[in-house]
Amino acid sequence: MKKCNDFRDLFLASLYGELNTEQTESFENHLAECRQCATEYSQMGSTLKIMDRRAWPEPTDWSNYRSRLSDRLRQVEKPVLPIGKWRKRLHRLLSLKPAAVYRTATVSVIIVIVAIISLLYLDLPISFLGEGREIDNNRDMRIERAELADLTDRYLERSKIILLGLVNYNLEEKDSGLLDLSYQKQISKELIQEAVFLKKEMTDKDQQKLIALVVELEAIMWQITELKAEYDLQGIELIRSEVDQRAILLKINLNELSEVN
Amino acid sequence: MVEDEKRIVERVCGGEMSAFDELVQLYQRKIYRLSYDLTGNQRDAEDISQMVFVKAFQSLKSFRGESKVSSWLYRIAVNTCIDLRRKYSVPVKELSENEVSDNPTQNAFAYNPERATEARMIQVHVDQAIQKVPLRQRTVFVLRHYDGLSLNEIAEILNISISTAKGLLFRAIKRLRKELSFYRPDLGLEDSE
Repeated sequence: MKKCNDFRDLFLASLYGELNTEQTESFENHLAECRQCATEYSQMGSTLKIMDRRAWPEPTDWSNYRSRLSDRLRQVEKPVLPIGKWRKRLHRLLSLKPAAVYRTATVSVIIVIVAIISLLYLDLPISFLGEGREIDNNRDMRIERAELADLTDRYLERSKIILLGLVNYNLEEKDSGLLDLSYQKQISKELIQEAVFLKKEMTDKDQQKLIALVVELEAIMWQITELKAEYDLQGIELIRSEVDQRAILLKINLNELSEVN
Repeated sequence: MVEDEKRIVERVCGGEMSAFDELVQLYQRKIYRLSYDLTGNQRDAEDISQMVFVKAFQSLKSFRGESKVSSWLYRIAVNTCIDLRRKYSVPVKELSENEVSDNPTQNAFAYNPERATEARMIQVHVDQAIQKVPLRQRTVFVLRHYDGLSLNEIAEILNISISTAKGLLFRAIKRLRKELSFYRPDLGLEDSE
């Protein structure tokens, strides 16, 4: 004998007129006997009747809609080739008096040479990417997400190394020669620069935790740069305490784990 | 595939643009309405429905005719809506199964008995109710109830099983029931609980 669940399975088919004669008879008999099923079925039917009253707004003018669509289709058929524009510009340029062209070319070459000399011989800040490329905060650089992830991973790794060095250092070693913090301070300055860059580039909503971690690390790095160059035990103790309280190393490890997974 | 549709597709593939225009006229309203149901606003509906036809135009030559043209267009429309939703992360507030919305039109309706306003208020409320149904349930519901597709066709379009489609449709109707629960018999409308 069929139970209520079996008949509930037929609700949709019945509402949309898809039951055969035999099924309809059996279904209706059940509704006559089962008040609960009858009520539920009736409510669903009423809901669908109300939904039948739905009216959709439409474009005020379908022919206008189609003409806009035709424009879009024409773009697809014959894409606008940028080369056409460049051909025109080149033609315009070549039709200029030769002197103007030569002058422009000379100035451009000089600018390029000056730029190359500047890059090769002037003392510019340490390269962020470590491969001869430099951060140019004035340039609108779009970085691919994967590259940003790599940069972030490297930043976290370098930060972790610096922090582990400080956290694991045995403070009872009082020989000042063993505690030269100038290297850590130098790296911390670089890491602060990187943090500024990363915070600017990380704009996704799902990177909020990572951004918060970068901000915390930036604060710690600032504290490291404030340490005295040698034998600043009190400063190191403060930084250790900060790292422990904020569970910085744990957060870095959790981020690494999430990357692996 | 319907014979007329088949002929239209053949003509388009043969380079006859006017044939594609016929196809657009045949389906523009359905695709527009589906896009409106899935996005909730006219501007997006118009944009998405046009994108659907552009995509269809670009890929018509690879259309093998194994399904109806309408099903194929619906699939493109659903996928386009989902892609755009993901891309722009539009935060549409969708209530959970057990939450019921706090609907301002309910009170307005109770104090405004004029028939013309009633009809308008019902339509507004129906429109609001459908937008509160979670997207997957809503998609199945509109394809079944307004476009008349079978659960089999819907399952194929959404790449889900028939039983999943059935479950989604059932939940959609129940959810709509909750959203529309204030209609009472003494107002000359449908049954209440």
